[in-house]
Amino acid sequence: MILRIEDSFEGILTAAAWSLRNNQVPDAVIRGSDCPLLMDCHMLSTEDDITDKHFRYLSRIIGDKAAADVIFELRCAFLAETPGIELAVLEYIKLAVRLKLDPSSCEDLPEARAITTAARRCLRMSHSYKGILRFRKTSNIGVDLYFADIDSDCNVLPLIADHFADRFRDQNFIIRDLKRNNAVCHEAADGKTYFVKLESSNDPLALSVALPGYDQMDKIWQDYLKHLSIPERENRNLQRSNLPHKYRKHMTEFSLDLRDQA
Amino acid sequence: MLISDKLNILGESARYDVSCSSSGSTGRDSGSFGSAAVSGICHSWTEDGRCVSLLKVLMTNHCEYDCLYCINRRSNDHVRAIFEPEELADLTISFYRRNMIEGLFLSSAVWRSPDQTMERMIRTLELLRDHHGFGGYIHAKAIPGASSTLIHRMGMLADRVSINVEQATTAGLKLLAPDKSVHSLAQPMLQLRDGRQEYKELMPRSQVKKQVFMPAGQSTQIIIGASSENDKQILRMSQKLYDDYQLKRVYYSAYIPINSNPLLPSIWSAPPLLREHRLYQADWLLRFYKFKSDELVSDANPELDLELDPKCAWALQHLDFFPVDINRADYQTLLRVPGIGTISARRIMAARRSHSLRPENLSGIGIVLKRASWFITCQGKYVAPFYPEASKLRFLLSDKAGRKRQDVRQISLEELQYHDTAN
Repeated sequence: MILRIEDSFEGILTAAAWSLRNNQVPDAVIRGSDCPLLMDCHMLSTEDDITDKHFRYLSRIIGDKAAADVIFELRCAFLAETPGIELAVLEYIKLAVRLKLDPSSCEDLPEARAITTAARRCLRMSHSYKGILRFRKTSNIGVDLYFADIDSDCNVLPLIADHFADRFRDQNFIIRDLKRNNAVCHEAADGKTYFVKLESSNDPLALSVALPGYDQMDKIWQDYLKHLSIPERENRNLQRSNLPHKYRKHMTEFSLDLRDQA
Repeated sequence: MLISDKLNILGESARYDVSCSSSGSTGRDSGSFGSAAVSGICHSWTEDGRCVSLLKVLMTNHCEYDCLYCINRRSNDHVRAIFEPEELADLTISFYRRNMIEGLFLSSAVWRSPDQTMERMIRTLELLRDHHGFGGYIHAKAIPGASSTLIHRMGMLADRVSINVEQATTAGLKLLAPDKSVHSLAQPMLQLRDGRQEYKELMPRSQVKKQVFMPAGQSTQIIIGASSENDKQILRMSQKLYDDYQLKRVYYSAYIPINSNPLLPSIWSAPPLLREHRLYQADWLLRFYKFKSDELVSDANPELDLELDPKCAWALQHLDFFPVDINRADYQTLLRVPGIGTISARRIMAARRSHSLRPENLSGIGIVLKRASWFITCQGKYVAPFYPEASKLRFLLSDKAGRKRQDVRQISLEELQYHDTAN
């Protein structure tokens, strides 16, 4: 049996609910519209309030806190975008029911580890992006706006949006995820934060701020960091292991155009 | 002088301060913008591999003192600069709003007098907190010898306050930092400890996690290898600082020879980085593994083993304590096993509540079997492939870095003096 589901966290939870109700493990779960040729796919429509249904089901067995932790762990694992996470979600929920506890405490078991490893990877990456994300200030549209780009391996934007909305509650900002063409916007005036799906990387939302090319603080920051390093202890390997090159693309201190200006 | 030039000069002067942490602050009322993350956040890494979390600068590098090891000492021919409080506050805000930093790390050389220096630093912090409504992290260095009123005010404004004790022995301090006294270092540390405790007791029980006075506690820094102190003296002092002064953190800074003086190691000698690393490992054992300094170093062995990490070295000296059964040992016993850290020990305890651990699943839980397997049994079986002799075990546990870098140990003062005499 192959299940075809909507490409969302709720879609995956719907597949898990189907499996628990029918006491049947599907051979595969496919997200989106693609279905293998000549194979019988069973299409599942995403159920309303499926997250709440799972929470209520789990909280009866393992308690409210553990149930909330399980749902959060599953959501993080989903955001990690690890291939094959769909069946792992099902196994994880079954494990919680079988052991009557939050399976994150049983990392020696492979069914638990598939989810906890993915979730931890996503949380670690979101923590990193709380630090390495860089805003550039622009006043091109009449108000002060801070603009940042990211293209993370995991879908961290939903996990970091609240952090930045709380920290920079009095400033207008946009964080754009170039890999997934979506963005989070925060308006200081009414304190609202909302997600926007961009049609493409040429979406007017991105173009309207005319991508601030130069912010005078960038150069000052870059020079400062050079002076902060101790020459006698230079260790590029350690720097690279802490901050691999792939994360430096949108960090102003590693921007080559600034170095050219120097 | 341009602000950017001042920043470069005063950033360069501050770079030998090793603290970079922005963690541990809980419960401070946030201002109109900005916040402190409990776990701390790294924002960048410099070419020496160190994390940059805070805007680390000095208020000024004009100094009245003449500490032998310090780059900012009075007698050094060095470009000098001083920030106006408004300049530094604006700079901090500009960097913070671009998410380049978690906050400010403000230290200073002693400009005119300790009190005048502190007043200028406090003015900067007041501008940030009161004028800009800044709720981010602030780590401020108190100046030894400043009045108690100023020390208290700094504790109210900063998340963390630190005072560098610099040397592990009174003789070392007297020799290398003659303008500082033990009293001028200890007194403000005790005042900060008591102040924190008083505010903690004043808080209602429902808000016990809320801390208005120095919520991230205090820390200090010790320079390693500038004088002839041994690891035993250093670790004993650290133990005292944690136990009696309730410090959150002691930082160790391998001395980098920047000044030429007959009382200091040669300007050509390498910084004792491996020794610094071992001290950090030992310090970790004091803070999180309930080890006591006397267990790691003794009168017979006053220096840490450079070839082995301190926990492995302890385990080799206490082979009768092992092997421990991974399914039966309590948490504190598990923490004594090389290759098992606090996280994996917690995971073992949690997993054991529902089932018995199996040997093939141990690495999945985070245990480093390369080290741990020699010291554990699981379901009645010894986990390692064979029982090694003690000498063989030492070889198996010694890390590559330790073996490779043993020969680049910094030359001791005695060796240096012997070398000079011989020539």
